Amino acid sequence: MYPIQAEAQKIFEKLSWPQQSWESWRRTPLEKFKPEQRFREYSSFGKGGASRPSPLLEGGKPRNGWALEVHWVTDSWKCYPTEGASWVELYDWFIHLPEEATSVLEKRIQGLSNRLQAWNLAYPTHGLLLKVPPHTRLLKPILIQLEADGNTLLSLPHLLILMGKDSEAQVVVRFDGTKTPGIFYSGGITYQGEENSQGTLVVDRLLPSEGTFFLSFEGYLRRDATLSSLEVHLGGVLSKTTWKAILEEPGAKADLRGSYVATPGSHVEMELTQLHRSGHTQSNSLYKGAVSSGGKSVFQGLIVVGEGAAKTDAYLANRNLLLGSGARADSIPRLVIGNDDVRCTHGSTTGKLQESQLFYLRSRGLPEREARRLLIEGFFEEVVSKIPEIYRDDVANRIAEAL
Amino acid sequence: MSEAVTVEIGEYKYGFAFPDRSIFKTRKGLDEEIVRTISQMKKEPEWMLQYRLRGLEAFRRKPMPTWRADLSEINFDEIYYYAKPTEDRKEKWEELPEEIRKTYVRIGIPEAERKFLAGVGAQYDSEIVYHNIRSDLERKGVVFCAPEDAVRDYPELVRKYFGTVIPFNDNKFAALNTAVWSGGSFIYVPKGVRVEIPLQAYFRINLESFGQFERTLIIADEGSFVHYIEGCTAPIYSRNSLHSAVVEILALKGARVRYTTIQNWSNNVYNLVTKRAVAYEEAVVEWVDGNIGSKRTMKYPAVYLLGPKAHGEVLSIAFAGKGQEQDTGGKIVHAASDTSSVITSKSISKDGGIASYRGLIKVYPQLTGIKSHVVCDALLLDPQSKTNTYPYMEIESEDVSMEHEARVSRISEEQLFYLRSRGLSESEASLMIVNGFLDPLVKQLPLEYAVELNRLIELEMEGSVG
Repeated sequence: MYPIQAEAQKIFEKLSWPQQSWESWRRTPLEKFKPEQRFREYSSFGKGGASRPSPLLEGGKPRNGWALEVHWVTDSWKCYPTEGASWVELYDWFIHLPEEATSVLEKRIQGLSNRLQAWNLAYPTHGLLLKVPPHTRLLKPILIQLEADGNTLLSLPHLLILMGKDSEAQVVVRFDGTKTPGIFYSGGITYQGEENSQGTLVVDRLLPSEGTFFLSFEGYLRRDATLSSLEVHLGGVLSKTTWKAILEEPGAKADLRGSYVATPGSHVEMELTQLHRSGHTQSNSLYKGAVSSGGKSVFQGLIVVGEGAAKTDAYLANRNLLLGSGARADSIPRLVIGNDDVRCTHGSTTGKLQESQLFYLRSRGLPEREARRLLIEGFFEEVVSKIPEIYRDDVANRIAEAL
Repeated sequence: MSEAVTVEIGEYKYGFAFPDRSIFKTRKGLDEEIVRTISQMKKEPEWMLQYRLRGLEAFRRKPMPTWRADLSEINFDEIYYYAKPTEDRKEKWEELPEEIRKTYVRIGIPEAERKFLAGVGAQYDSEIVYHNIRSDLERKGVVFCAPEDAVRDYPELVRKYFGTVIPFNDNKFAALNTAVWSGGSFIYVPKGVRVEIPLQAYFRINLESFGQFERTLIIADEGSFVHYIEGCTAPIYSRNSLHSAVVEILALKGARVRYTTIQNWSNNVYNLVTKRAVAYEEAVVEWVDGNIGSKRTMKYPAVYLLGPKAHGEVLSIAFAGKGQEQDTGGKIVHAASDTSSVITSKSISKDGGIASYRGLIKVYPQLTGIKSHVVCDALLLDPQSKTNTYPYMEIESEDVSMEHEARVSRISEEQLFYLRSRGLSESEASLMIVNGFLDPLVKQLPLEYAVELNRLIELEMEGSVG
């Protein structure tokens, strides 16, 4: 057991599994994955973990361009550091979890709203802490890959990222379930950005076509901390993420982006919350997605401004591209404002590729396929450009492939 | 003749009340016997009674909506569901009992009728007490009467359309209305007839702990036009009243219907209304929905665009003052190709009031050429007030252009400073900014109403500082 696991389990017991009748779960095809049933099937699973051997820093060099690579395959993990990243700290929760991490996790546990979210804290299959110490600035990004080994169908990882004061880092988290048809991910990421820290977080997932993916993210931003994040959702039969940035102190700033493609038969759902607890905070979001025939996307965005949070500046935007009849995109951008001294706006658009743009490109001699590809690429450019360069092409190619 | 003592709150001008002189009133509470009594009083045919009873059954079965405003204070057993103020309907104001006539004179209805209305219906508690329509319109075949009279005189029309837009079991409050409905308006505009001057109905609650359940059905036949205006007020009592109307509109091929509401209930009225229109081929339906009064309002006028090239529009103005919650918005369902819609919402929150926009744009699959534009602006006048926006967009067709934007702001220091430097007082400056904020909507109202609305806003704004 890791230090506050018992507490997490108690909360898990008190909560219920998501219900279809809940507003935020009304659109989710719950019958497709039955979490309760999965829980019973795997009840013996993921409770131990203490016997895991201590992680070792393996020899071998990381692929060029990364500061650090962590590969976690079910029960074992490997880490490839470079010299430059040697002061980044990694902890397996079941072996050692520093005091400072416990207090952040305690905060996280209090905010859990259903069993699916609590699952990976009550019974995690992986618990990893990435700590970027104060005043550490990494020039190259960190890759954390959480990989399923092909045997285990359930993966409940939780990743905690602590960004120390004045630190700076880019982290790419990649859930890789391609080897495991029918994989079921229910992951959690908790992020704490201390004073004046600057974090970039990219979450990407690789899923087989019948894979299911749940993720809940919560980020706490202290004074002058900046977080820029990107969710990438491609493939899988069902995915639902809850992404919540909490601006706790003045000067905090969040730039939240998402890109998603719902291909035929897939259901991609995102819930985004920009919670302004303190005044003088800024948040900005842009979620862009393409939906092809037979796919469905649901975006539920929410800006909340607390009563004391004056001088808040918040913007939320959702853009959907419909690529064929029978594509379905739901967009629900909401505002809940409790202070008058704010500037809060949101915008949402849904439409198809512009005929006139297609015509223009074709008149320049591009075949229709190519013209469409270019326009779709251009549509995603705005969000994909946030990805660290080394990883950008990979995502861009996969978006193109998916469509 | 003395007026009953009422609780004085602010400048609510219509808070006066007269003693209860109903000639018939059901006892408090609701059961089958009461529904049967109402039906009997109205000498209704059996089918309508049966329909009411189905409504009652659905009302008992349906859960209370829990997703928004706190409605727990409503005690359905403490409400009077039916009160008949006069023996029959009059066509001359002079024939009405003195107190009722005085009520409408004070609200200004007879004067308005003379000046700019083509027809007026006035409802006092449960019944329409006055009804009149200009004879030239009557000659063209325009029907504007109480729905009870329509059940008697135009049974085919009523049976064909009543309850088809909003079924008896649509929601708890529509079911309640179906069970105990009384009063409202019935309008039929024949093919090609254009009613250029508005028709108006005025709804007044006089009793305490009373429920008003009017029922309005508007049928605009092919190529016709009608503009219907409703206004509402009530006295201020310490105990709450309930207003739960059902409004159904059918705009047949090429017809245009404009429905304007200036809701100014006193702050002890729960206003829970279901309004829905269907627009067939090339028809246009516009809802202009001004909500200034009431304690809590939950109202989302809807347009179902069922025929190609139909257009739906909702203009919503909400003013939430102290202790008020305005949960308003609009719903548009695109069920045919080449349909378009616009929702414009403007809300103002003041003195801790809560204004929420709640809306839905739904586009069914396999449609082409859909356009929709939604704009929500909210103005907060002080730090205690709140505003929420909950727009839902469900798009299932590809050839769609859907835009939504929302903004929340307050009166900015710069604007105030500018106006004050020009010699305006702070409250004059605030009022000017608020009027400017509402201007795009107020322009859509007939002149007299625009003036009235501006005056109401002025009253609401009195004493507020930036």
